[in-house]
Amino acid sequence: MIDNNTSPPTPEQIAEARENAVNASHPASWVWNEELVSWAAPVAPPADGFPYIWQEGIVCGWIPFPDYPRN
Amino acid sequence: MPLIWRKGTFGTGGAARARTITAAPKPVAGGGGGGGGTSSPTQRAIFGYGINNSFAFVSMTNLVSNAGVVATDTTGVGTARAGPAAAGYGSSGQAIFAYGVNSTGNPVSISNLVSNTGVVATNTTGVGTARYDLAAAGYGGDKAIFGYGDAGITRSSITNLVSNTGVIATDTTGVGTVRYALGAAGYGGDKAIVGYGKQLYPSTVYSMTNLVSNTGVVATDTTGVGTARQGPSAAGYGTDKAIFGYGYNGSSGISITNLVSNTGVVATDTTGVGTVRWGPAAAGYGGNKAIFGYGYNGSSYESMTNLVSSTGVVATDTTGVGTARGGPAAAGYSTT
Repeated sequence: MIDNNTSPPTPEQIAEARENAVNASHPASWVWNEELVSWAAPVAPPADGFPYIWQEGIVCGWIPFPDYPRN
Repeated sequence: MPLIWRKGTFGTGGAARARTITAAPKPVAGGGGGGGGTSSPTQRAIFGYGINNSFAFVSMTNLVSNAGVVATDTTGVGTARAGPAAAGYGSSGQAIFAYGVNSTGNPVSISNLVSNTGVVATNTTGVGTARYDLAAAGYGGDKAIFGYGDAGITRSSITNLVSNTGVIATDTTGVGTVRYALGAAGYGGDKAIVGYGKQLYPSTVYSMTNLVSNTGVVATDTTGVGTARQGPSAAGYGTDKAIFGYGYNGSSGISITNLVSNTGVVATDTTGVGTVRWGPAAAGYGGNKAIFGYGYNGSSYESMTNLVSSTGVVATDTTGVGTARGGPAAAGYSTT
């Protein structure tokens, strides 16, 4: 829903939000996505409806969220 | 849907070792990232387990001949998982895969023994703290050690010794910097070295090493040499030396290698050869050579391998055989 009572962010606020996003904690191998204004994984998680966690050790990639029911 | 960075970052599918030795040690070529441990140099190697490009956990294995040729996939035995570690043990060239993270996202402590003909046995009930992204190597001529790793909520420096019959002992209190995503290999005939790795909080990659005596006692940290990195792999070569290779330096993948002398001294970086990747596996083969294989290139998993000569020289990529995957483990096996 669009809130017509809220003023659009100023260029300064947009710049601050972008800087915060750039400086946000993120996995080292993630890449900056200018369109999303966010760091993003180099590959998307499996599209099977289950939650995944990005792991970055010897195992690098999306691994299932621990104990999430799959039955 | 917002993504939250914790240990990992959530995403939703659909939306977005000191004993006095009285005899000259026998070589443990094949030590490392698995390998080593047997009193005679191992001739063959085995890669196993991992996560494929569909992010499915797998249990298949790939045997490596005494000439370094990788065979096609062998149907997996045991729980599919990624991030286990493997090492050689026993007097006739057996090996063991142990630990890892399973398809429910939970660390496990199960193990699978490998005969000296490369046949993987069914699961053995786990011993020790369940964890993954750990390292393993042979020591003492016929034994092995697993150490460090990621237990899911916490990381550790715990070690577990493996007897010459493949029995894993309970946890030994950790020594050295707690970390995971590291490598290990045998050196000096009957000792091992663990090196590199990372910690999550604060996010740090390391270059320190820890020497393991011929009785499986882990020494305190040795100041690191070479580029700090996570996810390298290591193996023995040349009968009594070792090599660390590949990994991720915190900002990019690398193919740098570091040779380890027969006294456990790590040399400075050698310019990398082969495709940059991290999380490959490595093992010895052919009595005095080694092989790196598989791994993650930053956007997908690979199946290529790189042979290491008896003098520690890494060859260019060999076209991959078998299922491309990350987080596998490898060990040397068979003395013939």
